Amino acid sequence: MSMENRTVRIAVASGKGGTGKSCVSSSLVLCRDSVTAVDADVEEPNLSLLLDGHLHLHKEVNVLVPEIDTSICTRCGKCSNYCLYGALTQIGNNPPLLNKNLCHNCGVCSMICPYNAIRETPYRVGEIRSALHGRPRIVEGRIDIGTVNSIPVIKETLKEASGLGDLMVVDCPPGTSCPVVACMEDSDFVLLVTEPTPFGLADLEMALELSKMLHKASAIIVNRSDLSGGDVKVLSKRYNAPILASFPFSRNIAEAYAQGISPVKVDKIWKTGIDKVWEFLEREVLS
Amino acid sequence: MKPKEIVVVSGKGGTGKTTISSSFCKITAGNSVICDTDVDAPDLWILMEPDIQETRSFKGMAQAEVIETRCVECGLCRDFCRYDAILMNEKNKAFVKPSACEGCGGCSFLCPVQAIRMVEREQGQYYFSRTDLGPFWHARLNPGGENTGLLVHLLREEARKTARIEDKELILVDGPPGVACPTISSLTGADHAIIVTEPSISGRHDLMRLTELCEKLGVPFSIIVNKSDLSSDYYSRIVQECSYRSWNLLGSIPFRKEVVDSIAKKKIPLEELNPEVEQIWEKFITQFNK
Repeated sequence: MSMENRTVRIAVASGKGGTGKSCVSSSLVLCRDSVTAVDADVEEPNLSLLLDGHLHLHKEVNVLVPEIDTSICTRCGKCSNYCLYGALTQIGNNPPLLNKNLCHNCGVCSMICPYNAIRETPYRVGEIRSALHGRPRIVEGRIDIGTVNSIPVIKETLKEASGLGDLMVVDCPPGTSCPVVACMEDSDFVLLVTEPTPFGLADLEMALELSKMLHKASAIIVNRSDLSGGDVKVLSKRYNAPILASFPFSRNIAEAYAQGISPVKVDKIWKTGIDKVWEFLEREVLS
Repeated sequence: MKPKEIVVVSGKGGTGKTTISSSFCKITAGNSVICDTDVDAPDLWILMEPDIQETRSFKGMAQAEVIETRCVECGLCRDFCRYDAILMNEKNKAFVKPSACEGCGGCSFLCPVQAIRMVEREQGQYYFSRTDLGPFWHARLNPGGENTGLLVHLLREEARKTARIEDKELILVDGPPGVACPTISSLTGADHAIIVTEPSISGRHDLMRLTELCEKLGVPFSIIVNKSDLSSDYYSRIVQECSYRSWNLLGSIPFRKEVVDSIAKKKIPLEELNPEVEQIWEKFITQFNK
């Protein structure tokens, strides 16, 4: 894979929440120079808490929603009939009402209105915060509470971070649905963090399936590797995703994490393990 | 009587939602309908040994599909699409990236030669199962699937129907992490939210966002601090926050290795979470029925 002056993206995902994505992302960022740390878990962003980041407002994220000029609107009903999300409702001879939570900002209503009575206006759904001059560089997306669709903030966050350096580590949201797709889609490599429990493995399998579907090469990091209930090796083999590091449960790490201290700062096993992950990435992705 | 819907949520993933809700299922066995709305990482079924009675296809919204032979390479669809879901291939014909298409239908409307049709695709499946603890609605969204909110809505609607038909007082919902689409869909109109948090800087941060969401949606909530001995500092900060804001703290459960071992054996860790979890449930249901 050649670098061609574009930002290389390493996505850190997991399927199941709470397996240690942010622990891995923060450790990766702290073990290598000039990496941009990107928190794309925009619903609950907390990567910066593990990086001592002092974030400032970078920019607001707006989407376009329709605004109807009721003096021009003839109540023809075309826009509300055509809106497939049911975001526009017209009752009787009243102008259509917008439910912003259902609107997907597609622009169909304003395109379709025969009288040009609909113009689109910006509506805030979240913000991007950043620490650009510290080490490491951090860019964080954060949706406003009440925002249903997190995708616009995820996309904008990744776009903002892309111009900043040649390598970024993206802390993804949990799950395997559209927000994770938005994070993985343009990534160059996917690191999946799991724990060897029945829950961890069930969700790892879905995450591996997603990486495969998106044609992304992936590898696995096993956290709390001494827990039991399943064997990661079977999935690793089936999906051709090597296990790069295994970290046993440690009370010490859990307590440090609770205080906002990244595992790599307190544990030698993590330092060695994460260095090995970088060696692998240098060889397989960055060269 | 209208069944009461209790939703277990957490904001942060991995705090123990499923572990704790499975115990609630066992405590209320026979009186409740169980529902898992964490549709893109569903784990409750692992502890439930579900006997699937019925499987239904979940279609979600139709997505655009280009009939290549009709495409005249004008690019109108690509220029219009807000989701960058339409690209031109090496033959300069339009094609749709299904993972990006949100199904608005604008391209199909605009296409001057009707080369784009809207096609329904299966996005996942949902199931009605019998378990030893009661009827169970659950789902599995395909990896990369869309419309999680809609699937959650369907599951809750079916669970409510089942509760009425089978005369169950309660619907216990194991919810998703986060604060957006599937969480909002899980909480809207519910009777109560039980928030499972953990004493860490991230747990506290995510708790603040989730309580704000509950307040916004008008859903009353109570809080459980799981793995409460992880950090005495953050434990007392959360307790203080609860008392300062008059939030209902139901109780806390310390970390026990036995809980993890029980999950590893795919067994509901009720004994391992006791006595706390039964006391918590007792306290909750007494307050709730007042």
